[in-house]
Amino acid sequence: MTSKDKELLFELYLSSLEGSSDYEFQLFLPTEELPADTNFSFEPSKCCQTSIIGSVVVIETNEHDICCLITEESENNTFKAYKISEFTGFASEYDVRIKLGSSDYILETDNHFHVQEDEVSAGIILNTVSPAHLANIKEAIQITGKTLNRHNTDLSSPDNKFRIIEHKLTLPLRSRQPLAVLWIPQVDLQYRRDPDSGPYMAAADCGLDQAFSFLHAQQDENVFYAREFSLHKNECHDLLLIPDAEFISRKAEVRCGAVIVFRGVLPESITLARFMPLPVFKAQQFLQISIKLLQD
Amino acid sequence: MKEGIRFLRGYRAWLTDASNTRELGDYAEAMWQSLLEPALLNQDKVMMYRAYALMQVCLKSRRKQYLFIRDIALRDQYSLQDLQLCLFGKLIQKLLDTLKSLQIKKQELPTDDFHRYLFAVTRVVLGKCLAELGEEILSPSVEVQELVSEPMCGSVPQSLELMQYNIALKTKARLLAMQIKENWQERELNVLCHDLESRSEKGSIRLCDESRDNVYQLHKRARDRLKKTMAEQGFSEEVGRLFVGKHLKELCQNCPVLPTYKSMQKATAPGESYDIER
Repeated sequence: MTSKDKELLFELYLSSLEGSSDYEFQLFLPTEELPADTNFSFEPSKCCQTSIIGSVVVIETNEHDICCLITEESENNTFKAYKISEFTGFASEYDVRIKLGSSDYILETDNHFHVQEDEVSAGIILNTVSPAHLANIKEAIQITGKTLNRHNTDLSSPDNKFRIIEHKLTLPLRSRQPLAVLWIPQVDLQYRRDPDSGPYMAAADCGLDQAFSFLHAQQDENVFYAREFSLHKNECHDLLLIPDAEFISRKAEVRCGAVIVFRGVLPESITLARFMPLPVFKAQQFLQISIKLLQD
Repeated sequence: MKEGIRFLRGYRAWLTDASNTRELGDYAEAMWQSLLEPALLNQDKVMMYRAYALMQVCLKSRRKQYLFIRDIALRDQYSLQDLQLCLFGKLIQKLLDTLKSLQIKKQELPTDDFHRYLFAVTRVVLGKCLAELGEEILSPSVEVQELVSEPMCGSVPQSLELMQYNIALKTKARLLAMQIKENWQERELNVLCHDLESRSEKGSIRLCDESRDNVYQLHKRARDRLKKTMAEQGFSEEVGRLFVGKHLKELCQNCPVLPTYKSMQKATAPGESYDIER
């Protein structure tokens, strides 16, 4: 696909995210109108599905419909689900391509969350994957992402913008798991793919956030103090964000640059990245982490 | 194409007929019956118009997406009729994928609620059809990637398949590809593939032991045969162009490389070295 068509595909993707509109759709005969679909939403069934695992479900959230594949049961009567998308043109090394019925999808192995049984029951079940097929998919998930694409580290490319928006759609669902590692585009799409370039690129940018002007004064390379939080690196080189005491248990957004990577009630600690062997101040320089409190 | 125009004219006439009811529940029921027995779409015009009308209503909520696809389709010289009908065919096909879960819902819900549910499903599935259609228009040559797919069990009823082939240019091209795959000899397809590949940057290793004059004649013969096959099936030139642009490459990937027209089998897959007795 040419880069121009890739841009068009991205526009098509954006248009697919738009929900219902107020204006009338132009039919073949403008004077003849079909019944309007307003006030015609269905009420969710109270009955439970017999088999939730292996279901392809469209879950309705506040803003968007999210299509996912339920792969396994988790704790507290929840189910693990992976976001899937029909936009196979944006497939990356993090995706498994799957065929379900007459449709091809990408399953985004880095975009998973937990859903509750009632959310699944209230959603729309599009398909069900057989246990054997599901086992194959789960096997493919395990090996996906081992070989990374070192070239595509530009966050403004259509492929990466697609990925960022796909994660934005699932943010409310992913943020329910405070112990999970966050998905951060600067880490997963830049640092992981090309560990050498990212931090230096960021270091070359002198106009970073004013709030962190005392960056270079940081002496300890395993800890970095900001106004609202501190960053720590443990012995495994995991990068941890520890909000200041007054922020814990309050509703907030964590941003990396302009991208919101967490939105919800702040826990005592958030794992930003696994094995990121950088001095923490460099990590901060690279990630530009900030916290913004939200109204409860 | 003519059949498509005929269908849309019929739909318009039906839509303007005052004696027809325009209840969304009727449209949903027609869609449901069509899914249970797709052959009915060929037999019962009103049922097909109602099912089609359901799609039109659902398109209301997908207006921006549809208009975007319409623009790129027009850019690629598809007709609006083809686009609409191709979309309808896709919608039926994908709704058939959901039939099992719909049948469960049908048992769980009262009729009115089920119609509402089917409407919601149609709206979601239509969004997927639009996305897929857009992607197909933008990237006609499917990139070969590993798919984790389930073996096909059961098949879409023949009559529906035929209906779809008849109503959409794209699906006709797919049918043409299937016919060539089934009816042409490998050596004939080898010539057609050489015709296609020799225009590419890498060139072709097929027919490497044939003289240039022979190759010219073979190309001409293969193209004549292709035209004849198309004429026999009533396929337009547009279908032929779409076939060459979209499906021939895929056929060639599975067609053994033969160094001459007369060589038979014993050949290797494209891209590998070969050693054929002449």
